[in-house]
Amino acid sequence: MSTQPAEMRSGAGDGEPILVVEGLEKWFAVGRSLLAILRRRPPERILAVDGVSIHLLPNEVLGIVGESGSGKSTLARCLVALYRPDSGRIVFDSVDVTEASGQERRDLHGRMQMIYQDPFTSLNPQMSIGAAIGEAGRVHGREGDDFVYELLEVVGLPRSFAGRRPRALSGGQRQRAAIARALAVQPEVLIADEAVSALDVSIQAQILNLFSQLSDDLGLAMIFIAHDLAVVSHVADRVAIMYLGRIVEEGPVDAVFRTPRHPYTRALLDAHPDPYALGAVDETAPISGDVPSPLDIPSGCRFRARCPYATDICETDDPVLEPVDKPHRVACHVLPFGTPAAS
Amino acid sequence: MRTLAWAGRRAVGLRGEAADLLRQAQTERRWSNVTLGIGIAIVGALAIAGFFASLIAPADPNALDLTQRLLSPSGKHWMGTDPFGRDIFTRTLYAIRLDLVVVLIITYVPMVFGMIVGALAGYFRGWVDAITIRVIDAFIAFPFIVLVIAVVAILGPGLKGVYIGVLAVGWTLYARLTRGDMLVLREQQFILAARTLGYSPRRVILRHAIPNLIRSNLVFSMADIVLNLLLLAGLSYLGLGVQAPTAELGSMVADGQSFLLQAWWVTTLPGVVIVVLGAGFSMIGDSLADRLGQRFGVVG
Amino acid sequence: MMSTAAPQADQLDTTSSPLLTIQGLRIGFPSLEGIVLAANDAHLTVGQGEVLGLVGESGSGKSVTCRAIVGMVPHPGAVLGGRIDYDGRNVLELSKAEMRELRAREIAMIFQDPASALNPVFTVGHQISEVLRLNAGLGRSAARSRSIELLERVGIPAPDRRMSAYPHELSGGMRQRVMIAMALAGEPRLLLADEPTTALDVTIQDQVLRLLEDLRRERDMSMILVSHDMGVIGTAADRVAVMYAGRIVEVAPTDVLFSRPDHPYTRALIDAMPQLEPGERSALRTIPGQPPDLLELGSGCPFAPRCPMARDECAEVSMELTPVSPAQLSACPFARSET
Repeated sequence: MSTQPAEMRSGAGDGEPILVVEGLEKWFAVGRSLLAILRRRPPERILAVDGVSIHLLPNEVLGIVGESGSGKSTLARCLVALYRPDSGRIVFDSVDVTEASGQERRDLHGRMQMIYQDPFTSLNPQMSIGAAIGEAGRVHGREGDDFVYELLEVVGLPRSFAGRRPRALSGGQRQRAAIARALAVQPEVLIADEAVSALDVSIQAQILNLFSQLSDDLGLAMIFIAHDLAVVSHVADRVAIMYLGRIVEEGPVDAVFRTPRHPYTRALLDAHPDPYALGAVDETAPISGDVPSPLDIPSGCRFRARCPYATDICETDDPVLEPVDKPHRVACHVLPFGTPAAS
Repeated sequence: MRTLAWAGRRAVGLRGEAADLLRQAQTERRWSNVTLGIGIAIVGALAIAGFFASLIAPADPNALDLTQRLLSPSGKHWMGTDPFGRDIFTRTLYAIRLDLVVVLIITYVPMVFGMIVGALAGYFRGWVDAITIRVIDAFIAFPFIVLVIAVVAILGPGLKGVYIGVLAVGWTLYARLTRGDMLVLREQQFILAARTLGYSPRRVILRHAIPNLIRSNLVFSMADIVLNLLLLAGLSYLGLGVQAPTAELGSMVADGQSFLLQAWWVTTLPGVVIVVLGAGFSMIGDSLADRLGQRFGVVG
Repeated sequence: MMSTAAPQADQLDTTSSPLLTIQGLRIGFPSLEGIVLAANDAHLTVGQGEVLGLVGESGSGKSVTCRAIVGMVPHPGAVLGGRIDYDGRNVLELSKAEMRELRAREIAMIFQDPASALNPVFTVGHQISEVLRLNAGLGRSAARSRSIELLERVGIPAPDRRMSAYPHELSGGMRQRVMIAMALAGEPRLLLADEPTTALDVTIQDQVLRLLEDLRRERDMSMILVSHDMGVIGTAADRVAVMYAGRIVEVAPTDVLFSRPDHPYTRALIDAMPQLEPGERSALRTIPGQPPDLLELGSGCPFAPRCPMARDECAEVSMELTPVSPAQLSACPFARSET
């Protein structure tokens, strides 16, 4: 699978999905006041991820975009077993991870690895880069030191860096080291959670190129989580837009970004600061208001309070993610920008 | 590149305000180094003297000679003799050895135990944490010394009582400190990363978390050592700690107190040793806190 | 172009009347190995009613330069040289009391993290009223009604009720609006905005940038917008100064900078920016290497070690800003001949 030519990438629709998530829910209990406990109020819950279904094909890069509170990081943490989902299924390589037990579950999760946002805290400050990469490999049964040097080369770090502590590395170099450490486990899926958002532009470009290269050369499937649309448009094949714990639009990156169907996606694209849109008249008013508190999710469509196109049905009925065009799915009653047939 | 770098440093120039700025930063740093040096010199010198007591000491620490009672300091008896005619210099050397060993034990055994308990509580949270924190709170609610004295009173005076008493109570402060740090640390991305890399909890805690928790514990232990030194001396002074005739700084202070007006040296000189030793540990602790504290900030 | 004793400053002055002029600013931080120059001979002007974007990567000195204007260089740094003229006065020579006066009435500042810039134990209303009472000398009730007006102006819904809210009860975007309201309390003529939208979501960032733009027009206020984000700078600034390793390497009107960047560093920054172009999976152009260690900087161009156009002369080149085209200044004497 690692020999798959790069041209095949855009048509990465072939093959069985390596990862399927169905109806995933994760909620968090909110700390209760003493008074609330005395009054026997039921504990309040925040639904961080509210019924999300996604799938990931081999060698595909799925982008997940959302603002804070959208649940995108919680979703990622459920996938790598940092959180235990409260409902729904995670099927990895045809095995239901949520039902697997003990060692099998750990092994399955080990085949999905995460790259974290902050390269300054994602490496143990007490450990040399080489020791960190070596440990990850050896825990998963690899022997010797050769793989450490190979991985350093893969991520573009000189061999001499094996002996260095994270403190002696710059942000971009640390992020490379963190990627090498994740690769030491020989994962099939790489999950990058805002992995370039803490980096300077010039370094960000280097790491983005590295991710693209890894997906091309090693045939890794990747879930790329970010708030920056441009970054996602650059690496992803397919993209899912999340809002308040739900996916509101999903489809090939080209379709979603060029012909967005959901008003929220449209708003995100309009708000994206683009210096080359300079002279262009901003005909759309910016969407107003903040993301509602997850404690107080509106009835019906969650976006309706900020949506300029909301109608009566949006207040009462919760829209479902439905296909508007074959692979392009949207959760919107109104579809104000028409359907593909119309455009 | 090297020459360019050097030129750069020179080009910046150490003139006027820039020089003041640099000098100020260097002075602060140097002062901390001096403090550390003095502290280490004091503790080191006393420790060496204590550990070679049997070689250095001019006399037998417990040899009674009632004809030589309460002699003032002289060439033969550098620190004079006590009411039983024993050489105080000799006894002080042996007492330093005893006190250092006991103090290190009653400081670092609880530290290690407390660190492990705190790390487990902070890492696993849930009921492990709930029970631990209740136990710690219960211990901390009582005054430390009263609790130790109670344990000693039950077990009877002597070093055994001191060990058990201090070990039973001393770990709680370390456990609480470590638990708090661990709650922060477990959300750090490198701990999350270790978990997602499939490491066992044992490995995550021992290999990844603990090395990052040691610093704050060490800084705290430097203050704790001083307190434990005074505690040991205090208990012995009260007759609850080290028993006669074994030489211990606190009990030596007690030995001379009824002769304070005739023979000041019997009480005062061992007392001075306690103060100097305590000051030495404090100096080390302060300057270590300056350094480790800053570095710990990166993690916590 | 006028010719006076300070040619550089005048060349930079592309606006009618500069409100603020920075010349040869040097800011140093002591470290064990020597002095780190966070700003090294930096030149800037800000015209009346103009938004100057100050862009650079972390460690470029953009924030520190901005803070020096209001005398708030973080400890243990200090201004080592140069001058900052605001409305005809060198602010570096002001006494502490005069500087406070300047901060109260002339120059306001907003920060990246509105969560920590507001005091968590006081209500929003209390904090805005306090500014108004201290700086504008208003009475209690006048301060209250003026606070409500300000909150309303910055787009906070139900401002009279929000007066009694504590900072933690507000979202990040709302907190930044409160910060802006507080900054407006003294009717400043210059607003320093240090990464004001970096901690905010895209849709909220858009709202806040629009608000700042409206306020600037309404009050003919000048603004320095510090950001690492070329996108934010490109949409919100009239003119852009690009900073690298403590030096200004290029200054140009925004459209010129993005369409005809001159300095190789500016070009590289623009090329490294991912564009919203789905389907274009070509590799981004990157800048090789790492930003320089500010301690190891010699004379010459600090970007030379990473520059694709570097040549031997770069080690001795003076980093003087020279005109490339009207209103565009660049510190690289070689780039323009190569394109």
